[in-house]
Amino acid sequence: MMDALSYFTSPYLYNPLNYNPLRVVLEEVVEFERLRREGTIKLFLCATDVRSGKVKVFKADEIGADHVLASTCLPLLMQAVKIDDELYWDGGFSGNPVVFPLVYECKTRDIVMVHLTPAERPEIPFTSHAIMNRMQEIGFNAALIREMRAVAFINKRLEEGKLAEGKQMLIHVIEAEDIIREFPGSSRLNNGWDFLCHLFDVGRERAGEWIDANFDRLGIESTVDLEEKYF
Amino acid sequence: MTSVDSPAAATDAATAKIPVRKVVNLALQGGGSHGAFTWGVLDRLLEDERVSFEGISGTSAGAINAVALADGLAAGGREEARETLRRYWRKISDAASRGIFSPSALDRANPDYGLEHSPGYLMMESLSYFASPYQMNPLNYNPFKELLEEVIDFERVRRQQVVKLFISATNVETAKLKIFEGKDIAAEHVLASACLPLMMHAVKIDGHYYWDGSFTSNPAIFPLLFNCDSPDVVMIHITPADRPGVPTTSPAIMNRMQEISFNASLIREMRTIAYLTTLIDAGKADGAKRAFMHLIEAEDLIRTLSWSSRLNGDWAFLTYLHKLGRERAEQWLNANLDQVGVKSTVDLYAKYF
Repeated sequence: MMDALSYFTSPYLYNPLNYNPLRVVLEEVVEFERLRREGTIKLFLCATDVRSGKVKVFKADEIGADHVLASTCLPLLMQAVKIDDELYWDGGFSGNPVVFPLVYECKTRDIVMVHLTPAERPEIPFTSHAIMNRMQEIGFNAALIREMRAVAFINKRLEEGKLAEGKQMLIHVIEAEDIIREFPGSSRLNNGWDFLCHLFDVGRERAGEWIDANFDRLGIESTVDLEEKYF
Repeated sequence: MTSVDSPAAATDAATAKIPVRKVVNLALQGGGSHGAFTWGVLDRLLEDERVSFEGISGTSAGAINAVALADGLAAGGREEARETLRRYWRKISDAASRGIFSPSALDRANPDYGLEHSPGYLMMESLSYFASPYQMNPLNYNPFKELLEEVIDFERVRRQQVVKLFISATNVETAKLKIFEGKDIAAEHVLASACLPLMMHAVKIDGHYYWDGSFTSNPAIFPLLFNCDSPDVVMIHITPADRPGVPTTSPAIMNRMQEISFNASLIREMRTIAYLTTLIDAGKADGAKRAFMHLIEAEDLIRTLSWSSRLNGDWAFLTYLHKLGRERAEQWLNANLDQVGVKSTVDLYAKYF
């Protein structure tokens, strides 16, 4: 019902008071005050600036529930989130996620990417539904693919000794595209406990396999072929 | 790759009082009928003998303008190129006036050139949510292919060596971008680059399926930097990046989602170019080419047009955009031609960061 409705109405019409239960859950589980204060880990949340289409990165010392909501704001289901007078939508449009803050602001050269949005889908979608789902998947991969191509290009120039500045990045991927692409697009809104537990188990399994196969390579080399994956 | 000692070259040209000749690359965005703006820009640039083109990268409507320009240049030079572009846009308009997307009298009275009062458009728009092009058009009849082949001699496009052509499409199965080069380009490749997934079947080329290039590159800049000698790229933007305010109706939200999506790759690529340029200027990059970026656009006006106007082929609308394109190209020539080969005339940090 929601899917068909969203074509005719909008979150500004059917939810004018902008009630968002996710905010309640977030504030219950996460102590944002502590997060901003402690800075144990460098955090970068990605959102999309609605006005300019540009990528926006929020850092640990400024993050509140609003910033998380902005990063997860699906435009047809939730109202744009206002932060400091700017409006934001889901970061997926402009960076899913962004990689450059990890390059510029962290010392470690290793990045372990956990991919969820299927890039490969070896059949052509034929129904309107499947087409729209695939358009969104492609849209939500575009910025990452471009960024990884830039990382690969800079890695190569560094290897050839042609850049006097820059960091050779080591890239790793944990994913389950083979399983995730079998779920319908609507399952992204499925919060059923059984479904979440199933994904949790798949995630643990894949992480286990990844550790066994690649832990020794950390700090030494990329364990994913960037040229093959993103070119 | 060549490195160009441009400031010196520019000074020489000025002191010798010989007519300035500038060779630039072109990057042409997609945007359906709004591509008539690009037609106007190209029309004006072709009039000015001081400017010539080396590489052209195009997506969707940008790809069509690119092949029309290349074909015309190869067939008979600048005047012929202007003629070929005009012929294409005239034919598209004639076809549109016979098609279901022709604007109604109400639409014609509308200042934003939308088709919200065209029965055909309304039917198509609501239908496309429930029925896909594979259901509505199972035989995959596409009159657009015939039109392209009527106007453009693709055999000549593949053979010509006047300009280097790069056309972007999106691989449906891998989500990756695909660049087709001049020697391979046929009508299918242009259709692939301009394939709107909810209106046309994916286009099959060499066993792979393609959609509109705008999802992954609108257009791609790197082929111009890697494959061309000229360090200058003149971008012609027609997909609005900046749009003040928040869209609150579903069609407006969907339109903005698509605009953002269709700008995301370009923004990312320009950020990479800006980063490398900083390294090059600091003397920290060996053998890399210093690019000079330029921009011709009319965002201020194009963003006031209705989203459905991208499907409006009404001649009055197309010629309005054409005139606007000529005006903006002329302003750009007057303000920036001297800087071509010398420096960027668009601030990448202000625009893309």
